[in-house]
Amino acid sequence: MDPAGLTRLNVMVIDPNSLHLHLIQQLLHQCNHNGMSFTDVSEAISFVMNDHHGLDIIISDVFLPNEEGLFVLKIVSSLQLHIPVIMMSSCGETSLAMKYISNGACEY
Amino acid sequence: MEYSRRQLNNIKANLFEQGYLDDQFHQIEELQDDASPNFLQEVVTLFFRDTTRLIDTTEQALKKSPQDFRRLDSIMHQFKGSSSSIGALRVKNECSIFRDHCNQGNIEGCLKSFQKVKKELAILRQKLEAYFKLLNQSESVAVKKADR
Repeated sequence: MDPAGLTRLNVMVIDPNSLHLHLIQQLLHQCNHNGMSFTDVSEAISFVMNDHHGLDIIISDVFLPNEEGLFVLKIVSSLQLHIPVIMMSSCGETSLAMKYISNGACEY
Repeated sequence: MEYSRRQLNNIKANLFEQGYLDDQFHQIEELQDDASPNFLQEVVTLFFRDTTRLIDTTEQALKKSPQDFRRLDSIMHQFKGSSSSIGALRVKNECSIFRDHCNQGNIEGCLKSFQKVKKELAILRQKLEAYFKLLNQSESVAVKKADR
């Protein structure tokens, strides 16, 4: 909890584009949240498996065309971590959004 | 020459009027704060660093035979994403055209479009470098005046 009484969240952001990560980090900073960035899904998953305590939310790119972002959802689900996962993509196809929602994403 | 805030704003406004930039650029500017006073410039620098790498990757991919249009589309998807993120409107639009050619399996179209992507990127880089140079000079003069 920060002095203003608002909950400070620990947010993991996974995106292959370092520019996007830089922008999101600044947004998180301005909202008074702590952010940790990963450009690689494997490294992010490794971190989650080793030390997910204190992690409040995960924001992940879909990682088209291979859709590595799906692994993030599967790991969170299989380990029953109960951490909300928000997926991001420039692809607005409903079928893709529904696929990720049905795999456990809380938002797309 | 000392540039006033109004003159700098006019230079920036022209970039929008001529379609080089869109509102996303303003939104990034609004993310600047006391803790990150040069955030916009940092982001623009990151953008040109990333797109230089993507240009090289695209050139390598275009040399391959037979063409891997899926790979080319994937690279240009990243390119378009980065361009969109900083409001580089013309670059983004050329990336979209490139992707259309990929979807049609049209290598000639891809090659022509790629030249346009590079051209728009070079023009934007030139204009933004000039803008930031003037901005930095103007701010430097303002700081010196304040110190007196």
